[in-house]
Amino acid sequence: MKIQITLKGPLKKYDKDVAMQRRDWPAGTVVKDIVTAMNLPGQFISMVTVNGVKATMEDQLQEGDKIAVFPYVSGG
Amino acid sequence: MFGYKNNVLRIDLNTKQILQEPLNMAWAKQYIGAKGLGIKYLYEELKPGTDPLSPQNKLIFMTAPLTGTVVPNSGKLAIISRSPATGTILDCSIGGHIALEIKYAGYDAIILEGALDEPSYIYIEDDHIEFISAKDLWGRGSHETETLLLKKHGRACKVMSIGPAGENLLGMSCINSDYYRQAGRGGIGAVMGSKKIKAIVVKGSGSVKVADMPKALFRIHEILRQSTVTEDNLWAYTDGTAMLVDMCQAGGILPTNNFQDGNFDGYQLINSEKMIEARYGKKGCGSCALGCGNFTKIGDAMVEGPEYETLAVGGSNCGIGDLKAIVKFNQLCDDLGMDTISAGATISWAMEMTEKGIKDFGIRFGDVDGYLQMPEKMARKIGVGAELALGVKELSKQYGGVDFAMQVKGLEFPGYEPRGSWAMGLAYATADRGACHMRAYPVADEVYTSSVDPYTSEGKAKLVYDAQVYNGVKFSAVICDFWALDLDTLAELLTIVTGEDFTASDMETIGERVIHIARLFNQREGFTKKDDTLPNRLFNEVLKTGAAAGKKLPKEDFEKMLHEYYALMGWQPNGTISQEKIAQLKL
Repeated sequence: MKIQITLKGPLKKYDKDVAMQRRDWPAGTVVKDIVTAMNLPGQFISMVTVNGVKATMEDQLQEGDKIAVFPYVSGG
Repeated sequence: MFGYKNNVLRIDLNTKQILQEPLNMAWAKQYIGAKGLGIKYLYEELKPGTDPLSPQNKLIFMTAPLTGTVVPNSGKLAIISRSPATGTILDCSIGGHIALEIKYAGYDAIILEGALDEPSYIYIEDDHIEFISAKDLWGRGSHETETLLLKKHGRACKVMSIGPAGENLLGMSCINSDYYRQAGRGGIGAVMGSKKIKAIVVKGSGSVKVADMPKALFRIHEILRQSTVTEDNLWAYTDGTAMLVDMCQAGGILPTNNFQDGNFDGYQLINSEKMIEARYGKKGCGSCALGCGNFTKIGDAMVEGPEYETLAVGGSNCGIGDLKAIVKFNQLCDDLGMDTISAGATISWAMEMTEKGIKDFGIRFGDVDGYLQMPEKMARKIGVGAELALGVKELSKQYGGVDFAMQVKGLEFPGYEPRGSWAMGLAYATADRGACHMRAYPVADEVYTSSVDPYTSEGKAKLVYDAQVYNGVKFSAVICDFWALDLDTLAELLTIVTGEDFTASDMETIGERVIHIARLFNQREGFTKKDDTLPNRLFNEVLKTGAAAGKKLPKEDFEKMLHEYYALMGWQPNGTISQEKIAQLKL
């Protein structure tokens, strides 16, 4: 299944692998699988959303889902 | 101590008498600079009960020992006065380059007292101080004013100015610098306007002495790599605060239609992805290593920003899902010298009043044309704008709608819905200048990282207390909000610059002292526990949709958090500061 992945802020630099966007993910893929496959540093991730809704690392993904990964922020 | 110029420029506007006096170094040791030291000066010098818009009020521009040094992200200026919007203490922080220039001109602080008879601007070039007529500038926008003054005095100067909103004494007027930087909240621009000061132009030729320059250079290079230009902080450069639109939407706290909900269907139309598509340029303040300034241009609308607060309070909260309209709104407010948070919040309140049929202000949620006409009408007090210029507290007293007048102590809410972030409610209720997100920012823990449950009162008093202490000293040193440095590093930097030994423990004591001197000021002006509260909407109405649907902030939970917060502060149950605490902190 296809998953659209958006990395926010400085995490964008981990988005070097275009193939990752075209990749076919197996059924049963959870958020954590994508974070691991992309070598995203867990200590710099504050929030993950799936289709705009806050998600956990264990949330299972569906065909066409849009996942966004956010870094830590301070201030506002 | 090094880092200071040990020199205060005091100007009596009634007599145009100019004095230079030594900085009170005993106070500087206790409060460091910027926010804390400015509040201490005002507390000691201002007669209680002073009308904020009278000549007797003072306007203090305060730098800090780190200002103008090689320390990164230290280019903020604190501006302190009694707020015309709230009657509380008011300290605002402005970026750009003006703080550095004041220091280079030879001053730690500029204190304005009294008022001029005719509109003027003050030109400061080192020891040379001049009053110049601003009759031909009065009525002009801040942007045009800055351009004309830079053309006349040269681009090496730095300018602070007010727009028509400040001239017309709005409680939501700000002071501008570097075109798009604002000391934004609480009507600080009106204090300058009441003194008939259109602008202050500064040019300095000096520098700032640092106690240990070799060590400063060595350590700052290390700190830059280890703690400043890092994964933790670079979001400000790459995406800017617009990134918070998606995060707050996901947490159900993106204010929508005057805080009727925390879920805005059009959030993807105003988020950082849209902003990046329309990015026009980058900019940073003096001494900044992060460069959070993002210019956005869409058609004829262009601004540095919009920041999250404008996208939220001036966007989703007004039912506006049109980025070009928000950019234009931001551009208009900046030029008119008006705070986008209070302006947006007041317009959104008027929209709800109109839609509910309580009072027709002629504007409804999502009405882009009406929304874009409001800033000019408000700043120049034209038609319905003359009423909206009063802000939501005064308006709701006149017309009703008190329960959904989203303000604390007269200062309108920034862009975070407390029903989905309960500690944020406590932060708004207890912030020294009214509803403010810059004193404590618990949404990061409650919503972004989910490290604590947002829908409980447990542990929230400590969360807010710790953040207020941290920001109390950080904004006094002064370091920009976007550098999340720890107190050990802050203490080390102050030690390197001043030559005095500071520890993290000292930082905590100073942070606590800063909170208390601000609270003492407010206490003296008659503020009590009854003012540390929130609008009834948050206690009585549940959010309808989004991630926090069904949530409210139960009054008993709020009271519990407030009670625990007072206990942590060592205050009495009625919120007053005891004499023992005053003695303990050597206030």
